[in-house]
This record gives sequence, structure tokens and C-alpha cells, in this order.
Amino acid sequence: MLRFALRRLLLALVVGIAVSAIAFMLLRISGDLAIALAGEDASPADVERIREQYGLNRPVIVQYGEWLWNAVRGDLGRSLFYPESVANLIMTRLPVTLTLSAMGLVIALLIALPLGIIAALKRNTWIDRAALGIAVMGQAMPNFWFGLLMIFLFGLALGWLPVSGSETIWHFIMPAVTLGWFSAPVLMRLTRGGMVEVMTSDYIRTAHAKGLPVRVVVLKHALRNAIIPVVALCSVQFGNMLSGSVVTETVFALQGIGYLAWEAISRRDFPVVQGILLLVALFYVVLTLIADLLNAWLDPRIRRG
Amino acid sequence: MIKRRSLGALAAAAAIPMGAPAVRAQPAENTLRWFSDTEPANMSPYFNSTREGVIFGFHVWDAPLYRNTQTGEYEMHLAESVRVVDDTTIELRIREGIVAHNGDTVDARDVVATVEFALNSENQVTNLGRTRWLSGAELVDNRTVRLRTPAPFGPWQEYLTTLLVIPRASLAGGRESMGREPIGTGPYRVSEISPGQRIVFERFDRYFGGAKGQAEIQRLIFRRVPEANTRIAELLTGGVDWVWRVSPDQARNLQRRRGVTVISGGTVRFHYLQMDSAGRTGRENNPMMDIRVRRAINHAIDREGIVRNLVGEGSDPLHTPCHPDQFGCVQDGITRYEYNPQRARELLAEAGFPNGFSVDMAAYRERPWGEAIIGNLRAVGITANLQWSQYDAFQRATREGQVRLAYGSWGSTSLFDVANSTSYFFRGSPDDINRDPEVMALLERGDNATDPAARREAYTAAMQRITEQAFWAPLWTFPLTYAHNAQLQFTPTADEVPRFYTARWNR
Amino acid sequence: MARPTDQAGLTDMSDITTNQPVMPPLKKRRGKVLGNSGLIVASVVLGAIVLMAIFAPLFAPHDPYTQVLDDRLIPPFFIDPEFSDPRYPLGTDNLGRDYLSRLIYGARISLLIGFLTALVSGVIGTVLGVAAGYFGGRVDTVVSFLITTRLSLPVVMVALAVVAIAGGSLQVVVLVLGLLLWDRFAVVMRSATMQLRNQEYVAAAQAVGCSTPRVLVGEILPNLIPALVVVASYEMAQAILLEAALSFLGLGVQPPLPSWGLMVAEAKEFMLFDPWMIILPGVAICVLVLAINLLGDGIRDATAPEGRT
Repeated sequence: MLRFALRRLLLALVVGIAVSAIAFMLLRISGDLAIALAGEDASPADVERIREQYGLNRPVIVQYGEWLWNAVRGDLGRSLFYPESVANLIMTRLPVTLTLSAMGLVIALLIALPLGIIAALKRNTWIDRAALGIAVMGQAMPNFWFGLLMIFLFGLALGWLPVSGSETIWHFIMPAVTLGWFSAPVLMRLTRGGMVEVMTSDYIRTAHAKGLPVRVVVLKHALRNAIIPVVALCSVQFGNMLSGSVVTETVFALQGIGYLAWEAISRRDFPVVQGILLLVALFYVVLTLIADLLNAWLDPRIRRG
Repeated sequence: MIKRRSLGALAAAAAIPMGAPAVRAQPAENTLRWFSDTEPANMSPYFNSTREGVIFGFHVWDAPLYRNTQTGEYEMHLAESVRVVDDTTIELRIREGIVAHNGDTVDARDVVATVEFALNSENQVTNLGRTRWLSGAELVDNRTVRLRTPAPFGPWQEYLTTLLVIPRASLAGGRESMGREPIGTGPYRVSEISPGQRIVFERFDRYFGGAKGQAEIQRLIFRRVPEANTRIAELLTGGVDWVWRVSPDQARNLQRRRGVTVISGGTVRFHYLQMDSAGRTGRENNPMMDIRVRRAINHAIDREGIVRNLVGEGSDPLHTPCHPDQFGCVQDGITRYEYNPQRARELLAEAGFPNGFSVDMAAYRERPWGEAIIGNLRAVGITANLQWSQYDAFQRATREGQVRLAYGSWGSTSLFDVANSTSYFFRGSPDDINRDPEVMALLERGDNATDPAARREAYTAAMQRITEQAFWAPLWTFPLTYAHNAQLQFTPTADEVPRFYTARWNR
Repeated sequence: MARPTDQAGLTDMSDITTNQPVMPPLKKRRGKVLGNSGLIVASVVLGAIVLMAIFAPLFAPHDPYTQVLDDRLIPPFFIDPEFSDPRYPLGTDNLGRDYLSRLIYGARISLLIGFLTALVSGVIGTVLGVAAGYFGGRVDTVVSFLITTRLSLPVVMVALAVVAIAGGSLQVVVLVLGLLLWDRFAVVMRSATMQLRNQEYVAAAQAVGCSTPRVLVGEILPNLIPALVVVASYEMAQAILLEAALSFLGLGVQPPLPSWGLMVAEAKEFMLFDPWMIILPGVAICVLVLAINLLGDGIRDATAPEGRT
């Protein structure tokens, strides 16, 4: 198992480097970092001077090699705009995104679990379909649209929730709903499927036969078994939220890594873009690894390769 | 002195407090909260070129001179006297008793250190505009400094207002330290930088005053909120006191709300279409090389209609490649192209394009207005495809001669002289896509003359030539609209720099 | 914007694949199609949108590009009868263009983006997936590495980076999304092909001496089609939403092309005071995406051996 995990991590690094090479080339092909650094009012002569000062007139491949050499030694470099190291910059932004994703996951589960259980219990009735419909709605709406509508309704019209920022837990509710509802359908389908499977198993039939109340059977026995794959999937969903919150963060003015990535892309601040892509790739690999391990550990039947 | 929040990721995630939304700052607390869409990554005025950074510069630092926003006169500020020694030397005598935010005394030595720092390329300064006109500085005594320019330099007074002086202690730290722990002499000191959260400015009680005077408001809180709707929603729910870059439609609706004041202020920014008259994108089949096509485009655009319906109050249709408020932006004797789609179609037919043609239009800001231009062009048969990109890509494409039609905006670095607008675009620099030798010669004559009358005469001829040839389609001047809490007393200025040190709350 | 469904990886994929083991012959499935009301509703809605898109010039009362600045921001008839204008039943946009006509033409662009993206990603994903599933071994290892690389790339960030640089246009958006959304095709096709390869009739065809291409095209591909359609429907919906997100950041399809995503993005400036402008195209996207998803679900249920579990 350890060797398996290590191989995955090694793979992650190879993938990360492949990704970073792609990203570097993309950013440098048509954007112009020197112009971005100099700003809108700068003269062409200023731009040339900055290009020289920052060594941006050297071949792109040399600049990439330099970055890679440092990255391999654990130094992600320094932002060209912020007075920070890339590592530090990401660390200061990560808490916002982590909080957002964690709350998004909680909301996704709050939507998905009840709907999934109800759908499984009322299988193939209109309630089943309605439950799926509610879950799927979250994936059918453009999320910035949904976020803006919530600002309009809960922030402006009703005044229940703060509009933007990240000072308190309340600030995270609307963005977390935006993000969480989007993930709900997948979790809901899995919960429903798992519940249906477990409910029709001999084991639960026995429990029924023993005369245990339905609530106990559902919550104590069936759900416990059905939830295993859902827990595993949660780790993957968490990873997706971490890397997929760009738009949500923009709408709610949350300064997490999603917005940082967008900002760094617009400014061609390539060390930052590289750092974030590497981090996201690592997150993905580690979280899917956790998901697989969880599945294997919780449910020996899955250990088939 | 400056609080910085950079806790470990998980620790900070846990530290985000539970409980009710943050207490709203009140006018009674003498605090002003302002939101904008971008944030300078580095606080130091020598390491950012954003508009917000310029505003920070005015509040945290000072320059030898200060331009009075009402009279337009240059007033002594850090300097108590200025003397022109010769064509290339200016002597400044620095006021006594200037205290930096860290308690140090600031004098001529700091001026020299700042200039030397900015001119030394090892320091990787990115905002070169503040010092690019200088070749050096030398200390005469602790209160006197001589600035050297490489050649005689006409607008030196204007540039002395942008030469922000950084205390030596701060310069010693270099780029990153200057950005993280900014130290200035200005009416406000930076008391907290929470990256991505907020920047807090406290009134500096030992401020020397100078031409800016003492600030009224105790605390300024800045936050970057990228989405315009979110900023407006915050304003309407009392989450922010001051926002700007309000669109005309939002302004119209906000005006009806109680408790919100909406004001428009003029700027020296203007919008324009550049056309590849020089054929740099290829000489074959390039309609822009034909003067009739360029004139047709000028006739096709409904400047009045777009200004009235979209750009909004405070804007005027424009016919010159410069802002009418700028020195040398002569409006007499120029060729004006009124809105006349019929005439545009005739001109296109004469030029051999009875069915119009298709062209890419590069643009990077104010997209709805660009779309309106596309609509106008479409009405006369020209299919313009928007090529939307970010500023650097736009600029690079222009400089490399890949742009046939560009929709741009120019702020003239907030300076009131065509040397910073028309001359910037038409004197053969990489940004000059027309490259007309006649215009270049005229502008050079105007820029190098020191006698205002001679300058004006040269610029008049240049304006006539440019408009007659229809090298550009000048569009309109750009107004800036602000919306703020009605209890705030705030006066906009034409240089796109709000002065919060002159703002106050009504009690 | 997250794309959890595709990045969910192996666990999530099972959602689709486990219901897709070996396809029973087509005849047996017909009855289920008629029994599925969701499928019927989805087909009707989607059919209507497709027809509207194809025959847009017949339905649209105005040219969607014609701007009349003096007629801008007219509300639809149901919002404010007093200020509405019978010439513009759904009102006009920021530049005085007829909103109804733009919505009708917008269906074209949005469907086109969804369809072309699904096509590009479908071709890439199917080729890779079938190759990996059929040949196994080294081919499978390489394809699996490609899938992992693709999955570890954050879709939105990469799409943003590429479009920010290449400039937004219909072609760029379709190409970028197509190159990013093939992973689910590959995963599903790979496991489905693996199952099919071990079927008796495939073995029989191989034994008779059919060439590899012939087995692939003749025996494997036809049986993959239902699964392919299901995945394609999800990817189509994804592409439409992603284009909207790109438009929100100013990087989607370029004006004056009226995609629904672009219309939502353009209307956002007015959402606090004229919310109908953002609600109409937003609802249109919702309905389209829901219909496509429902269609996918319906086809999956109808073609699955025991119906929905």
C-alpha cells in the first residue's frame, strides 16, 4: 500500500512538471510580462528597461529552466508583483479557499444526503424524481448567475447575509451554497444508489424482519453502509472545489487561491500561476489517493485492483 | 508597527470567527471604507502602476511640489523653495520639520536617496514615470538638493508633483520590504496590510501639512472587490462608503436612492479608434490605407448617440486625438466628421468597398461601448470582429504592428499637455501606428519649444493634419462617476485621484 | 467554476459505467424509452430549442445585431406594461437590440458550442479510451497517464489561461474546452471496451479472423454508442456552462455573437436594477442544461439492462 501511495505521489510530481511546462509556455507566448509590470502609462522605453532589469529578454527556455531548477529544490520563487514568496502568498490565500471548500462540502452534503435518502426510500415515485430535480438544478445554473441572484435576494432585498468579504462565517454562506449545490447531484446520486443497494440486501431485510423501526434501520444500518463511497467521493469533490472556485471567489470578492490564480494569469505573474497549478495537481493526486484508500479501507469488497 | 496576517493556512482557517457579521463602521467612528476593482500588489509607488497605487501614493507619501486641484497652480509642498539653476539643473530647498511615519526626520538626503534608488536598475523599479526625466541628484547640504535632467525639460513642475520621496530607512529594504512595510511622510500612514483582506490607513498626527493640509477622517479602509454589482450592493447595504467607476446606468438608478450621492467628474482620459494608415499589417488589400475608408469610419460613428445613451453625463464627443482641456489640443480649424452613415457608405463605395469589408478590432476595456461602435460600423457595411484581450497583449499587438483597427483609451498620465497625448501617439514611438513624417515633425517642434505661442502654433498644424487625414477616429472624453454615502463630503478632481485627506463626514 | 462531475475520477465515473455493462440488443430497449416520461419531456424541450436555433431567422422578429441606441433597455411586456414596446415583446438590451431575437439566435451559438465541444472531446476521448480498453498493456498505461494528467489540471484555470492568451472566439473556446473535457469519454469508453472485449461474440469475430479495425468498427463501436451519447450529453451541458463562466470573466465568445452565456455576462451590469435582463438568458441556460442532462439520464436508464437501480 505504501509503495502504491509513493508511486502515486511520484506520478503527481511528473504530472505537475508537465503541467507547469505547459503553463509556462502558454503564459509567455503572447502575453508580455514587461508591459504588465510597467503598467498602462509606461512608455515603450520604460518597458524595455524593465524587460532588461527583470531578465525577461533572455530566452524563454532559459527562464523556465531556472524556475524548474529552483522548484525542484523546493523554492517556488517569488511573485513578480507581490512583495512575497510564492509559497507565502499561496499560504496566506489558502485559508479562504479551504474554508470556502469545506463549507461548500458541508452544504453539498446537507443537500445531497437527505435528498438521496428520501429518493432511495421513495424509489421510482415522483418524490424520487423531484429530489433528483432539486439536486440537479445546482448543476444547471451558471454559478456566477446564481451567486449574483443570491446577492440580490439575500444581501440586498432581504438583508440577511453580508454581500462580500471573508470576515465571518456568515460571509461564506452564499459562496458556499453556490459552490456546494453544484457538487450536490453527484453525491446525491451516489447516496441514492448506495441506499437502494443496501436496502435491498439480505442484511437489511433481516433487520426489518427483526421488527426494528424504519428510522433505525435507515439511519443506523443502511446509511452507515451506503455512505462509504460517498465519504470517499467527498474527498475528490473537496479537491474540485479548491481548484474550481475562481468564479465564485470573483463574485463574492473572496481573496482565495482561485482569485489569485485569475489575477496572476491576467498579470502574467508566472511564478504564482506555476505554484498554484502545482499545488492543485498535488491536491488532486493526494485527494484521489485518499478516496481510493478510504474505499479500500472501509469496504474490503472494493479491494480488487 | 504594521500588523500582518500570515498565519499558517489551517490555523487561519480555524481562526475565521463565528458570530454576527462584522460591526458596520459608522460615520461617527470617523472611518471611511472605500472599495475598488483592483489592488496594487506592491504598496510602494515605485513598484506599481495601478490607479489605486497612485491614490495610495498621494495619501502616504509627498512630493516636492503639489498641484492645487482647484486653481491648477503648483504649490510648494515638501520643498519650501525651488530655483532653476540652469537649463538642466533645478535646486530644491526642503522644508524643515518633516517627520516620517517611523519618526525619522526627512530632508534633502532622502530626496537624493530616492532619485538614486529609482535610477539604479538593480532595484528593479517598475514605475519609471516618476523619475525617467531625471539623470541624477546631488546633495548641496542637508536641506538642499540639485536635480539634473539629461536635456532641457519643459514640464518639470508637473513632474516634481509626482516625485514621491521615500524615507531612507524604507529604501534600504528594497522592493519587497517597501511593499510590505511602507513608510512615508503623508497625511495617512499604513497601519495594516492583510493581503487580500484589507489595507488600513490611519491619520498621521505628526503630519507637516504643507499644501495638502491636515486630514479630517481618522481611518481609511481599502478593500478590493472585483465585481461591480457586488460593490454597488455593498453601497446600498451600507457595507462601503465610497465607490467609483460606476456605470452611467447604475448611476442613474443610484441617484434615486436615499442616502447615496452620485457625482461625475471630468478627467483628461479619452477614447479613440486607431487605424493602420501606414499599412503595417500588410499593404495589400488594407482598407485602412485609404483616406476615404478612414473618413467613412469617422462618419459612421454616432458619437453623440453613444455619449448620450451609454457613456453618460460628463462626457463629450471628441474630434481631436487629445483632450480639449490639454494644452495644445487646438479645436479650431480641425476637420470634424459628423455622424452621417449615408456619407460613410458613399465614401466606402468610392473607395471600392460598396459591400463593406471585414476587419478585426482590438480592444481591452469598456466593452459595451466597443460593441456600440461595432454596431455603428455594421450599419454602414463594415463587419468589425472584436478581439478582446488584456492590456499587455493589446499593447504588444499594437507595438508589433499587428493591429488594423484598435479601440483604446488614454489617460495622459493625468497631465494637462498634449505632449502626453498626441505626441505620445504620433511622434514615431512604437505606439505610433500611423507614422506620418509631417505630423512627427510638427509635434517635435511643438514639444521642444519653450514659448507657449510657438508650441501652440506647431500643435495647431499637427491637429489639422491628423484630423484632415482621419488617421484616428477620436471618440469621446471619459467621465468618472463616483457614488458615496450622502453624509460624506467629497469633491472629485480631474486627475482621477480622489483626495480622502480633504474629505470629511457631516456630523 | 468547479467541474466536479468529470474530475470526480474513478469513483464518480462508476455512476455512469456500472450501468453500462454489456448492451442488450437494441430491440429489447424500445419499450423503456416510451415508459420514461423524463426522456420524453427532455426530448420535446430540446427538440424545440434545436428547431428554434436552426430556423432562427424565421422565428426572430428582428435582426439580433441591429442596434437602436434610443430604444435601449426597454422592459419586456410582463415587467412593466407602461414602458414596454409591442415591437420588442421581451424588451431590448443595453444597445437597443431586440432581446427576443438575441435569445433565439443565442440558442444557435450555445448549442453549437455544446455540440462542437462534445464532438471534439468525444473523438479524442473515444479514440484514447477504446485503444486503451482494447489493446490494454502499454497502450493502457500511456492513456491512463494522459487521463491522470488531464484530471490534475484545473479546468477553469487552464481554460482561463489559454483563452486569456489566445483571445476569446468561438473557435478558441470550442477547441480549448474540447481539449479539456475528453477525460470522461476516455474513462467510460475504456472500461466499456474492456468489458466488450471479453464478450463471446467479440472473441468469435476475432477467431473467425476479422481484422482489428473491423472488430473495432463492426463489433465494439456500435455497442458503445448508448454510453457515448450519455457522456456526450453531460459534456455538452458542461461546455455550455463553462462558456458562460468564461464570458463572465470577459473571455468567452466575442460580441456581437449572441451566446446565452455572453448575454448573461452582458446583462450583469444591470442586474441590480433591471434583473429581468439577466434572468431571461440565465433561465434559458438552465432549461437547456436540464433538458440535456435529463436526456442523458433517460437514455442511460432506457439502455441499462435493469432500468434504474
